Amino acid sequence: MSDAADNNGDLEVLTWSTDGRTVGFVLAEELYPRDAIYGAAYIFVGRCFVHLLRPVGGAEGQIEVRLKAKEATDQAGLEGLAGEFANELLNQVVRQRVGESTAQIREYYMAKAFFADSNQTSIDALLAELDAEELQEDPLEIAVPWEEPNG
Amino acid sequence: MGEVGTKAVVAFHRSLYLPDAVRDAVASYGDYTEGIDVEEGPEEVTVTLRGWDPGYGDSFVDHFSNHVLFQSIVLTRQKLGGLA
Repeated sequence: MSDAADNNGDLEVLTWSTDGRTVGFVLAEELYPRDAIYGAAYIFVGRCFVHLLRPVGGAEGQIEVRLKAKEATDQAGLEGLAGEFANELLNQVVRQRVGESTAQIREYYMAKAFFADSNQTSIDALLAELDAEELQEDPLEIAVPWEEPNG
Repeated sequence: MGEVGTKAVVAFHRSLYLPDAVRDAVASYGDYTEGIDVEEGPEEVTVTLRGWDPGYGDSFVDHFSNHVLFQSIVLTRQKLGGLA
């Protein structure tokens, strides 16, 4: 039995058991959403065999992840594999949470990009604003150099 | 073509694997076995693989399971509007 992640806030302590070639651990779907598990599995299917299952007699909302090495390995190798999977899992959870928290501003930018007036870019708008300022009257003659009327 | 003597049963929970992904894997691996039986239950889709080349060993089943998982992820993401 080994710990793959510290119990820090929401993050569950992961434990795993090994039978020589496979390593497995049970995750609470409440803490590790299925999409995050999919994200980590998607990355690992090229490196090892991944099988997901609902543990028999387990609590509701639990997912068991079983990783099987493609090549012969020792227990340290399996624990390393599980540790890397756990790290990637945390990465996917954070990625998902950041995605959710920034979804509104991303939608705003997309809407702005798609529905903004395409005939006038922001640079054009700035140039037009400068031109307009130059054409404005200058009753105090601030723009006139002091030497010209007094020189 | 596979040989008689190898057999394995794998269960895919419906909440984790898409039945369409299982069908896709069956279509892809069918030519390398004597036969693949699929039983779609209310909670699980159970697949029985029979008669693959013993030279592939157990990894044949593992590759099959990986394929089902990969397709489940890809199809799920496509349904959510992503490319893969």
